Amino acid sequence: MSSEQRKPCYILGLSCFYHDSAAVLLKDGEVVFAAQEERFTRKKHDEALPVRAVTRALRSAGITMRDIDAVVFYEKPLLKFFDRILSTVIAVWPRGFLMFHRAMHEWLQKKLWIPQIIRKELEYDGPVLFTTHHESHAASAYYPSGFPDAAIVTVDGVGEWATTTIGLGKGTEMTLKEELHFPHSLGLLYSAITYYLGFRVNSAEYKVMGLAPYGKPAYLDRMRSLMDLKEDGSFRLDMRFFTYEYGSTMTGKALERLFGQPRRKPEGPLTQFHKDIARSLQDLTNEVMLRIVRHAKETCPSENLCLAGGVALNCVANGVIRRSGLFKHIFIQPAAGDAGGALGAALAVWHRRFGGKRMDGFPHVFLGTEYAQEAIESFLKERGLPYETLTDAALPETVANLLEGENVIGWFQGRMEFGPRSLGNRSILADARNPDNWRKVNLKIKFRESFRPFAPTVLEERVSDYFDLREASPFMLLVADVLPHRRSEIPAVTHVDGSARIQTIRRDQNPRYEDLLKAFERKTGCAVIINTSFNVRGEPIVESPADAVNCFLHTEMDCLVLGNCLLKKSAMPDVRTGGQERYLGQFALD
Amino acid sequence: MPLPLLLRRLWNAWKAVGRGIGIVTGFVLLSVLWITIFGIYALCRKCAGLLKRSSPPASYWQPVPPDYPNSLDHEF
Repeated sequence: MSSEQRKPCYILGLSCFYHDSAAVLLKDGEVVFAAQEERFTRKKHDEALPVRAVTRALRSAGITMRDIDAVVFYEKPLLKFFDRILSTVIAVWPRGFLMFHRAMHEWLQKKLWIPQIIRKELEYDGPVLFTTHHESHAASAYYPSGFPDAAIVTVDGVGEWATTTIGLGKGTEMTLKEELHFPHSLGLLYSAITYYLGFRVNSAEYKVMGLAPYGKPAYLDRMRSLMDLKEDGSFRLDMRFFTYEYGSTMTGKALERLFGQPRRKPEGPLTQFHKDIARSLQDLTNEVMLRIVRHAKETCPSENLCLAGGVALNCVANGVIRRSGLFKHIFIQPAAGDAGGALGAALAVWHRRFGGKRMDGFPHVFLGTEYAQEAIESFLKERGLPYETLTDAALPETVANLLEGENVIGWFQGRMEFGPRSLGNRSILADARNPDNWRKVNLKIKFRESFRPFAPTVLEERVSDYFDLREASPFMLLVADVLPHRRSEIPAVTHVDGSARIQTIRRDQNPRYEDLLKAFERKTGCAVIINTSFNVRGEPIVESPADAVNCFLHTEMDCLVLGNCLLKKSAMPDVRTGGQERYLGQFALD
Repeated sequence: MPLPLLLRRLWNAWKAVGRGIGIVTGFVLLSVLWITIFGIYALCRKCAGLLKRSSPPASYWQPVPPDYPNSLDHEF
């Protein structure tokens, strides 16, 4: 077979059976599809085998499972079970009786049979390969970074044993050098305090991050006493305060005695105490992360840093790392959590097994499903919903006119984002200059806690005009201060401490979204808008036109832009907009 | 060949009973395992741990175990 006729190499990466399952398809080392299963099942953080995501991946590439050269799972289940899980059972004995039963049922029924389940459910009989959990995270950050070499840091709850790793990437080689072991985990510490504050674990850690600026570090010393933190960033948690090794809860009475208050009941009132706890936790996290990356710089010298693992979604800590100046360039995998493990696993195999060459970079995350204009119009006609079709030229100006002021607009375009953030294709947009939009979007559209801030999108070339940031932030993973003289101009995206979690946009990343921002800037003189995810609380981000229309009809969103179709709430028949309670009742609160 | 309705109902009822029996016996077996095998081993480990004295190390970083040939093919 000539080189022109060579069959492409397809690798399917999977992450599942813990939380945030996902499927990623590589073709000759390039990502052709990536999506989380939750978007299709509409079950937030769905952990099931991502059958629907795989089906859509194959369809988008025009192939079947017979064309797949390897399926890769993002961790080593037998190492996890026979080493860490059973070792933990023995270490905590005689505690953990119920946890033991739960774990054994789960593992004996499902998690010990992963290759068999994959082969049966996906109708696949090729090789099934396994990377380690932190190798998956590391690969998801290093290989797409575009850096010729980099120090790599991965920090999460736990993989097999590792909770934190440091490594070095050079060319196509990646070597993990040092690690910290379970139960000593910065991710689990953050989750434990999230639990103590009455929020949902593995779901609401970012809410604690958003709550922190409202507090003072009044409990920082007590928070520090939860760990023995070394200068090199390594640490050991005092497990007397945590129950996650052996129980179904994360913390117990000891932590309540330490802080002097019982655990907050979910949905209970948030007091200054809770805000101070959140702030103290965030300050400690910043300190630990800074020490870890400093140690990474010493151990794995490079001008570049790659970050992944769930804790890399902590934008505040990322901002601290950036401002430290330790590294010239930083790349953070946008899908830094377990969903990104599917990407990393596939990339690791591409390099290690197939000797493939590096990706050129990771310019955007628009890697999921998309819907053609004809399909959208056909759907709207079927549902009998009135709409107006705009031309490509008229779309940005028309929507920018609507955005000015009070209108909140659902924006559904192109390919769906991969990772937890909406970056302009499945977004709810609003005017950042209107302070009322903060309250309106939080309470009447997303039905979420009022303290939660909104993130801005800004034209990349204008970022330093508005924020204390001189570099691109395309994935909304960096927090920086809004310039003091701009805070009154964009109050709806300025957090209580003057900071913002910024997304910059450039033409080659998303031309339509950039056109919209430029049109808004021409009209208002402001290059910043609110960009929040297109969903209500507890709901996965919308995937299809049907999801988008349902969210639009059952909230107080003013307009919806589906491709080139514009729908206005004022034109919707009344009968279609009822049933809000039933709609919201589908989604468990996160 | 599909079962007649009565037999199908009896089969479904038996499956439900069987599942219940399985839950109970599974609980009993796992509990015995937890108390005996895990318990004895855990007690031995704890006793051995009492004899070991160590002061906190200078660093908690541990080296990542080296890779081995064809590790990608294995779940461990």
